[in-house]
Amino acid sequence: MIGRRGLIAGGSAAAVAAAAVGLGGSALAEEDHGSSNQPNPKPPEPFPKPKKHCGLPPVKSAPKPIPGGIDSGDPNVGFIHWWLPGPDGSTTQILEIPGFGLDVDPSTITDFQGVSAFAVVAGTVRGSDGVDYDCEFDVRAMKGNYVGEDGQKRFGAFAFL
Amino acid sequence: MDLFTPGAGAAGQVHDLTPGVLPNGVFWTSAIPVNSFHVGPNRAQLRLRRLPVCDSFFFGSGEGVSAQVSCNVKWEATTNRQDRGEGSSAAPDTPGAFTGKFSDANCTARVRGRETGFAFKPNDPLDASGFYANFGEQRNGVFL
Repeated sequence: MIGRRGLIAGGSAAAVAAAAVGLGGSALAEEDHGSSNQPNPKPPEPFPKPKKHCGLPPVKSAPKPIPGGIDSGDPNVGFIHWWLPGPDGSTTQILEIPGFGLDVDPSTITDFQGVSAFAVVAGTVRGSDGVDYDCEFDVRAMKGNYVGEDGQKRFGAFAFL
Repeated sequence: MDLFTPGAGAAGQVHDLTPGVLPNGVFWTSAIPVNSFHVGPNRAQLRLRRLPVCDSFFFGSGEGVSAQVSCNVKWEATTNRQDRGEGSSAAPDTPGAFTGKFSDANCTARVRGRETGFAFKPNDPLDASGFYANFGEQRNGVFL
């Protein structure tokens, strides 16, 4: 078993020389009123609860992967279109994968414009066998406009797990 | 979403739940209902219910069983929005080939999953305090 630790070598070579570029105008961010200088002092209103909609949404054209990524080093997996945002010198708690820096695209899809979120969370979960398993979860979400495989611009949402 | 034998670290991986890889290479990414994910000025939330995934048990196993996962992930901003990415000045296949404004964030997650013969549910929320989290707005590819 190679495991995700094998990604460390490829990831180290992908460190970013930061040169941040401003947006020059508000992006298409749902419910986002642009940059704010102060955190909102009022208690936040809850986001609407999603309808009890399980599973996958109606089918649309698939997104396309980001062009870059790393060689996983595993023949069953091959090249993976994925980067790992994270402070230089940091590693994830369990798999110990190093962050590639903060100017790193958290999206796994290209030709995308919208809102996104990223985290690597860790802790424990309780198995049905009574065991408290260690858990590490690289979770991301993207929502906005994207150009699908069919070349059409669409609106959709995606999650990386 | 990875589970490990307690205290064994990476070598103890026993579950590896992901949406798989699309034929075009989109990695571990699934379409989700649009109303599952929301971003506001200071908060973001992702709620998934019974998303179909595959448990390959450990990275690169080449085998797997059907499974489903649910999660409630919450981000709370800890910084103001900051410019990120190199935009079109970066080569398209490099990590900086995007532009955006992101807040660093605290993040907590409650996750659960099930498959034939096994299920798991939350203990205390998972959190990102040991690594990193952010959220914001961005564009890449043809939108640069």
